[in-house]
Amino acid sequence: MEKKIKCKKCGEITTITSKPGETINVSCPSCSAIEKVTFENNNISTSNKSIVQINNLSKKYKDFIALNNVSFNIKKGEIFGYIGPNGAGKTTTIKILVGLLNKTSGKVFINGYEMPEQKKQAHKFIGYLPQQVAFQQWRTLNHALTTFAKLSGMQKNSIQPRIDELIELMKIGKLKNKKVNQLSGGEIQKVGIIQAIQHNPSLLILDEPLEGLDPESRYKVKQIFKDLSKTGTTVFFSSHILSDVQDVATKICILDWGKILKIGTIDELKSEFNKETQVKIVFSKKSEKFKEISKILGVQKILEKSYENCLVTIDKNVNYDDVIHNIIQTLLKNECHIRSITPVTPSLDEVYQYYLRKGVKS
Amino acid sequence: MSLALLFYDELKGFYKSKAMISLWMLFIIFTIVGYFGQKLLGEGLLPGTTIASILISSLGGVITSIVITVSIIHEKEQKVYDLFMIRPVKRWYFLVAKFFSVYICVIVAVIISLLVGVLIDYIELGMILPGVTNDLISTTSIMAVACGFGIFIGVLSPSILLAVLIALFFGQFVNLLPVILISFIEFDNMLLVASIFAIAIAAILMVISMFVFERKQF
Repeated sequence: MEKKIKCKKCGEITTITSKPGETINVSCPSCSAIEKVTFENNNISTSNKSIVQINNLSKKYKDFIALNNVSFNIKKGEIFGYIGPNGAGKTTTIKILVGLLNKTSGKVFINGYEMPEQKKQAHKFIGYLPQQVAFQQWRTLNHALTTFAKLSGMQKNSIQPRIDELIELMKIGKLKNKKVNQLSGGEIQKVGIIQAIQHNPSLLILDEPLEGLDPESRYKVKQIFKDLSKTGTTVFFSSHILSDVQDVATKICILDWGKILKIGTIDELKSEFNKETQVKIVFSKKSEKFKEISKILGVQKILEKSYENCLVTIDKNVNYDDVIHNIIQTLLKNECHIRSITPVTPSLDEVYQYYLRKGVKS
Repeated sequence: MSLALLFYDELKGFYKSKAMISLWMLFIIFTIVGYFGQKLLGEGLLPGTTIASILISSLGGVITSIVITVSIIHEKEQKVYDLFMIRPVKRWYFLVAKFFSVYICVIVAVIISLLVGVLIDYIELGMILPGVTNDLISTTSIMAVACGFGIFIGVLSPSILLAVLIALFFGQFVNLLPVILISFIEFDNMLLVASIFAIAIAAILMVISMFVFERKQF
């Protein structure tokens, strides 16, 4: 951590480096005046501070570059979706974040604690779900969760009620005393999610958390993420299921070949992709005169998808509301009966494909 | 607190495991088969306790090393440690907990098989031979080396097959290292010195394992 200080005596500015939370005596190089400087521990106290800071993170496996100068920050309460194709570097980033893997270069801070140097302090804030969840086979579900709760520092008397609450929420209450090796893949995933959230960590790091879950459980887990986010918990998760990412993520990062292609909110990502606006018009009765709308200023293209519906492309530089109004007027004048007019927004899948193609080209 | 919890958990897992039950049974079978085998061959007859002590120290030690090493590598391959490593717990606690939990289970197995040896001696010779305590001390000391060696290979080896091969080829030599060492030195109390050597070797193996495990990437 770097800090610039100004000497109170002579005004000389000096740059000093130390670890967060440390207090050091600094001697001014000009006048030799000694000053005590405390490096703040970047513990998150306000909502706009970053709980995760990654600066120029790189990871090499011999000649293969798994991560190449990756940098991003995650603020408190954000749900950060980390997406990318297989081998993009998602799991490598996550493993470095939680201190299971060493970085080649760059800086990683969790709650102000540098990883992996201060991982013991950082681990107090983390709830982690690996891509492949595994427990010792001889443990029962309840035993496994109790052990992890104790190791995470939970109060003894609060452990069992919390486990009971979560296993009921995930609908695996009946499996409480079953051995882990008797559980299905989806059930183990649920136990994995419980062990990650049971101690109320301020940062949840989840590698493919919705993998192997049935639709009902997926919905429930997404709801849990949203609820946790409202209480200030930060959720960082990777996923291949883009519709799920779209449902919960407040910010998305697209990664490919170890490089970040794009970071932003879904709207920000779509805005670059969406150079034009499209509307879908569905007719209950259509006359051939509907093509008159092509004469309206701002209408760029009409694509007939079927007899009943068509796709109209509108120039982004003209007033959208005016164009829609004119389209409706023209259609009514030409005896077309409209069932619906809906703006067509690109799915996250389309946006994702767009950025991947763009990344490959560049 | 965390170390005690991990130790208790591992102990609970090990004493009920099929591997440990098999080990207990094997030690008893070694003693019985070993004693009656030599009797059938008609060679110079060794007492049951001595047979138990020799066979457990050699074959039993190798098997113990294999049991620990397979357990560690299996858990590494299954990614079981990932969930432990991200908790505010020192990594070496896992190895120390595993060492002592297996060692305690093995000591129980050693005591049971030596008691079987004592029973055989009593039935066959009509008396309990002196030196049972010495047999117990020497065997348990060698078992400490076996446990340490098992953890050492488990931490270093990338695969179960390689670990088993190393345990089979070098296990016996490493386990009997304290005995080999004292053959070069003259002491009044050879058993005590051999036991100290054994504990020292086990401690060295554990310290190296802990050092490597602390820096291991998962």
